[in-house]
Amino acid sequence: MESAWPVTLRIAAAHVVHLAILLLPSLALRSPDELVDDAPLAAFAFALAISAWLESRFAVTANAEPGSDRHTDVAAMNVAAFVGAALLAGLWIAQVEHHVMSDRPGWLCVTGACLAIAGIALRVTAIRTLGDRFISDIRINAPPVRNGIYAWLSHPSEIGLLLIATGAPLMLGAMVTAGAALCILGPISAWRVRRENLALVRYCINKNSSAPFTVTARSTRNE
Amino acid sequence: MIIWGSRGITSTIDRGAFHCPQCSTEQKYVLQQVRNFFTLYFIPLIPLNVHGKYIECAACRGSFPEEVLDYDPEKERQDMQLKMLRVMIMAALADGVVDDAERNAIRSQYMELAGLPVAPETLEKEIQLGESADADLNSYVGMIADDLSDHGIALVVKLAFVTMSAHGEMQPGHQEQLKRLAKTLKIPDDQFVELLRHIREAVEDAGPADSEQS
Repeated sequence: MESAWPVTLRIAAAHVVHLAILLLPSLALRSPDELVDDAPLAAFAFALAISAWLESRFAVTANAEPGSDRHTDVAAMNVAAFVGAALLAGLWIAQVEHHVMSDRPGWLCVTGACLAIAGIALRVTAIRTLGDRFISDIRINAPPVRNGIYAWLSHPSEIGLLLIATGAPLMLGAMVTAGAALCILGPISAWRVRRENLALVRYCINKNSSAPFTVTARSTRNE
Repeated sequence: MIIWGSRGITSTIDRGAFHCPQCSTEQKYVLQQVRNFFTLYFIPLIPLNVHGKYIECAACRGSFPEEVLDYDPEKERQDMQLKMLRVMIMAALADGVVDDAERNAIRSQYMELAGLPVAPETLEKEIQLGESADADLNSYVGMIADDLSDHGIALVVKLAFVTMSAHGEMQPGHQEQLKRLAKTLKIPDDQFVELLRHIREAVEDAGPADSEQS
C-alpha cells in the first residue's frame, strides 16, 4: 500500500495535466466564472476525462522490448501519432468554435453526447477484450480474437475513436469541427482497418490458419 | 491508446565498431536505448523508465545485448581450440595412458583444427593436467556441452573417435567412454551410430595422409 499512493497521486496529477491541456483554448478565451456556467463545456470535459480515466484504468502500459521496434509498422505508428495530434487539435478547435459561434440547438449537444458515450463504451470494451494485445502498432503475432465485442463488430476501437472525434465537438455545438474531424479521421481509420486486415490475412496464411478471411477480418486485434 | 497511454521511444546514444556475431565480421554498431514515455494524444510528454539498451548492427540490423561489445572472437577461438585439445587428451586417457600414437593423432588433429601445431610443452602440460584431473572424457564434455553448436558436437565425437582409434583398434576403456558420449552430448542413438559411420569412412579415406602428417 505504501508504494500505491505515489502511483495513484502521479496518475491523478497526469489526469489534471490532461484536463489542463484539453481545456487550454477555453482557459485562454473565457474567465473562470464563464467556464463554470458553461454546461456543454463541462459535459465535454467530463466525457473526455472519463474516457482518459477508463483508458488509464484498463489499458496495459506499453513496455517496448529492446529491439522490438524493428518489427514495428512505422507507417501505422506515424499515422497513430498524427491521429492523436489531430484529435487534440480538433478538440481545441471545437472549443474555439463553441466560444466564437452563436448558440446551437440543444439536440445537437445531446446527439454529440450520445455519440461520444457510445465511442467511449466501444473503446473501453475493445481494450478490455484485447487486454495487452490492444496496441497502436499494427503487429500481429497471435491468432485473431473472436470473442467479446469482436464476435459482433469489426474494429470497434476505430469506430469508437471516430464517434468520440465527432461526438465531442458536437457536444459543444461545433458542427464544422465535427464534420472536419469526420472527413480527416474517417479515411485514416479506413486506411488503418485495411492495413490491419491485410496483416491479419498475412498472419493467417503464414500460420496456415484454416480461419477464413471473412472471420479474420471481423476479428481484429489492434486498435 | 490515443488519449492516454505510454510508448517506448528508441534513441541512439552511442556508435562504434564491434564484431557482429551474426555477420562474423567487424561492423559498425549503434547503441540504442528504449525509454518509455507517458503520452497524451499519442504525444510523448513525460519520460518514464529506461526499459533497456541494446546494440544494433548497422549491416544486418541484428540486435544484441550490450555484453556483445566484450565479445572477442580471437579469444573465443583460442578457448574453443583449448577445449578441443582437452577433449582429445581426455579421449586418449580413457584407457589410462596417452601413448605416442595418440599423441601423434592429437597433434595431427589439432593442426587440422587450428591451422597451427600445438606446442610440445603445451601438449605435455595439458596431458599432465588431464592425468591429475578428477574427470574423464564424459564428465569433461558434460561441462562444455552447453557451449557447443551442432557442428561443435560432431567435432567432439570426431576428435574423440580419431584419438581413440589411433592404434586401429579401440581399447575397452575407449569403447565404454565413446558409448557414453552419445548420452552426454544428447545425440539420439541412431544418429550417433550414423555419425560414427561417417567419421569412420572419412578417417579411412584420409588415413594415409594423416599418418604422413603425423
